[in-house]
Amino acid sequence: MNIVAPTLEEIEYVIDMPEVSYSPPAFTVTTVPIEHNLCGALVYKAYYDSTEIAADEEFLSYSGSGGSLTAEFLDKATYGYLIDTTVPYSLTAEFANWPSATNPTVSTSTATSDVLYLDPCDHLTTFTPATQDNIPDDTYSGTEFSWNLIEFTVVPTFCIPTVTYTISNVSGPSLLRTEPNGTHDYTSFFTNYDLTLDSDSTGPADGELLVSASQSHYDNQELAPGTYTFTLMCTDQKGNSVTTTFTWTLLDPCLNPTIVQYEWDPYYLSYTISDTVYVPYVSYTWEPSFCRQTMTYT
Amino acid sequence: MKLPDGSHLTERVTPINSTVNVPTYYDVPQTNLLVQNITVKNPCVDPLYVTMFQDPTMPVPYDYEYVIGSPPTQIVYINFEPLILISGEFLPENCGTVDHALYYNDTLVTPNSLTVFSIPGTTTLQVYTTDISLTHQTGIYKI
Repeated sequence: MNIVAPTLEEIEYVIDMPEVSYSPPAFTVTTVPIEHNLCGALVYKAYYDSTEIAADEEFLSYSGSGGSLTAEFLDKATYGYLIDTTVPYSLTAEFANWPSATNPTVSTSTATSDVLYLDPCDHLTTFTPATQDNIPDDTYSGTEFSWNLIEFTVVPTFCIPTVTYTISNVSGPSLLRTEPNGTHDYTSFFTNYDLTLDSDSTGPADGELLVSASQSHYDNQELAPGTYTFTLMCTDQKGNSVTTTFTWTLLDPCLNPTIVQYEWDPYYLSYTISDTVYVPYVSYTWEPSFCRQTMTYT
Repeated sequence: MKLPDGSHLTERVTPINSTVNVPTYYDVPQTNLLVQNITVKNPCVDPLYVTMFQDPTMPVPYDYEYVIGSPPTQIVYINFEPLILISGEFLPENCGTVDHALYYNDTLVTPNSLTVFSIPGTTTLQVYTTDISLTHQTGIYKI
């Protein structure tokens, strides 16, 4: 005659989350030499941290008679100290008609496991990106544009300080003039931002990205005209991340330039058949002046 | 630039087209046509290059006297060659031949003129008249 305990699972409870119930497997009875149930039913007791628990307890409740165990709601403010700790719990069984107190040799059995208290900021209930503003279009004016972070939705809200932001990728148009349809990774170019919300006073403001494009960026092929897609990544303290994007478009300032021809004094443009004269080159200006230009005569 | 001598002699305006290409960042050509006109002038009508004038040291005959009714009298009215000033490399021959016209009292003199008429193919004029009313009158001829 033997009472066989089941294997109990670890009860994981995330602090500040709703209660969690667990129904443990049943204890079984084995008999020899024959199979029978002459010994009657089993009775159970549950223990939390070595203290017998009842139906309605502060940490772990027990419905009794082999029923479910319930890890009760614990708010973070009061019970945050439990995060990342384990507390043992157990179930014992014995025959109702043959209590061990009066039958020292009778079979009893105990199954043990733990209640593991988890960090709610590792188990966000809501973690979604917020739509970000795009940066206004520019034509390499040199104007500095300020983009400001719109924080993602993080629940529980007390976990907001635990998430971090970064611009994980910036993809833009190809730098190569010969590859108008290609792309280029500009991540290392756009680094003038502060997405650490720590109220520091250096560099850009918290949550701010500063960008600018000048003529030299165009000339030196550091920023090509086209749309730049910034990938904004938010990561929780457990390493889970969500992303969203925003864009910045640089327009080609050399598209449809302004060409103004300079008119020479007609005296210089008349030729009387006689000898060699030199006709001045046609003079003109083009805007923006940093655009490349070539001229051919016909 | 050097244009051929001669061919020409009519002032004209020749456009010089210039194509300016201001490509986009991705080398997409954007061409603009600029036109600059050069005016080719005729040196034969430009006093800077060709000037014809009378040599003051070789005056034409003047104060010639004719007695009315006397036989026709011939006068060589051109005894000089016009001088031509030349500027630069231009050759005056390209302006063609020099032509003359004779006027008497502001009227073109022809072989059929009266009183003063020309002899075809020469630079000679003749004077002949029997009109006594012309006595003591002065006629002015010019070339």
